Amino acid sequence: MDKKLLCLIIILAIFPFSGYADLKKVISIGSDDINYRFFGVAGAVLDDQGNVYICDSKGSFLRKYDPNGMFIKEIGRYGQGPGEFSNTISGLYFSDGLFVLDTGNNRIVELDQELNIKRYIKLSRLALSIMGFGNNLYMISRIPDRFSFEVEIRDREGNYIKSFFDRRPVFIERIEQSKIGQAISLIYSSIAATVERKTGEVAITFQWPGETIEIFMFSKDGEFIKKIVSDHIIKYDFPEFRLKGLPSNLRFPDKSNLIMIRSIHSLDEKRLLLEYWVNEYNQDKAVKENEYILIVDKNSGQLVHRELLPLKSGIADAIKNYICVISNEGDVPEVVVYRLDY
Amino acid sequence: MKKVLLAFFMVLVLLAAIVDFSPASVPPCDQYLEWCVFTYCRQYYNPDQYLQCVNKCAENYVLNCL
Repeated sequence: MDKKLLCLIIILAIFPFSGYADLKKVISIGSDDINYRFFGVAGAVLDDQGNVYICDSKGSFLRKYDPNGMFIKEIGRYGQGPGEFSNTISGLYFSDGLFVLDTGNNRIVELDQELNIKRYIKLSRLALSIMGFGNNLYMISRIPDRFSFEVEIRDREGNYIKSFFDRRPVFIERIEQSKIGQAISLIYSSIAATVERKTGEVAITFQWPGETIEIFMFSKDGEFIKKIVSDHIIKYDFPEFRLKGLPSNLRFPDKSNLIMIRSIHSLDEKRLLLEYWVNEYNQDKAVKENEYILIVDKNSGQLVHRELLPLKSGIADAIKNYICVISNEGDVPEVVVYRLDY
Repeated sequence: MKKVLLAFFMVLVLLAAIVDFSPASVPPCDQYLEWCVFTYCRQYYNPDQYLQCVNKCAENYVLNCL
């Protein structure tokens, strides 16, 4: 076969899995200008028109930017009163309105798209993240008296409806049930979840996966639909040595990999996006790290695309082909919206 | 000199009280671990820093809460 043709075939075969080839920067928000300066971005979401909402935990404020990244409005300051936020805001969610999880003040704040506060929902338990659909609010929280997590459904007034999801990764069963073992169990049984904006379908995955990626699908009312199983991009099993006690007391193997699914997002009715870290360790030191975007087909569980993400960033939101990425590293924290074309 | 030291001490006590009772203070032991891992450590986007933070949470929990 002609060498040039062979090269072309090889390049075409590799292309979908290389670099940031399919990730195009659309807007970047963050500079020294007063309306674009951030101190610690805790959440960012896109609405259906492409507006960007950003909450800053350290600055205790919430801002709205238009689809071109131009500043529109800011609300909030540090405090516990009306219109005020703590400095431990831990999330922002969009669903027919905005929801801010204000952990420090033990409340969820609901706002309209013009950043007018509609109501406060007082929390009796620590919520780790929030999502919403229709009249339902979904909160990830710890199962009372257990060392794992569940999804709690509440109405928009904050009234409890039901809880669902009581699974844990299989490898957790290997942890000894000492007090330290329980702490380790809690860390490694954490879950990430997403709600499809059109159907309300909830997808949940373990943040620390075992030898496969398991994604559990539920209806908007918390009824189990099915489990999707997807393969890792490398051969992987959760490293056993991390389960026996605190890492500082352990002898580390020469080399190991650790994979974490930092977040999951429903792009549309057919596709899920996973924020997927692969960290290579030599002894107890990270020697190589890569962060990927994995696109998984909801029906088959097949990996349909993968893409490298710039390091030292985290995905805050993803909808259709737009991905909202937070970077708090460097001199100027910023929020970048990418378009994924593949 | 004693008055200056006393005033300095009072300021320290006041500051400690403000810090301790601010709404952003560390939660009690029954909520500490999940707060530390899932809220506090979330600020680290570098994987290694994040894992160090998670390990520190577990160490603090074991040292102060068990």
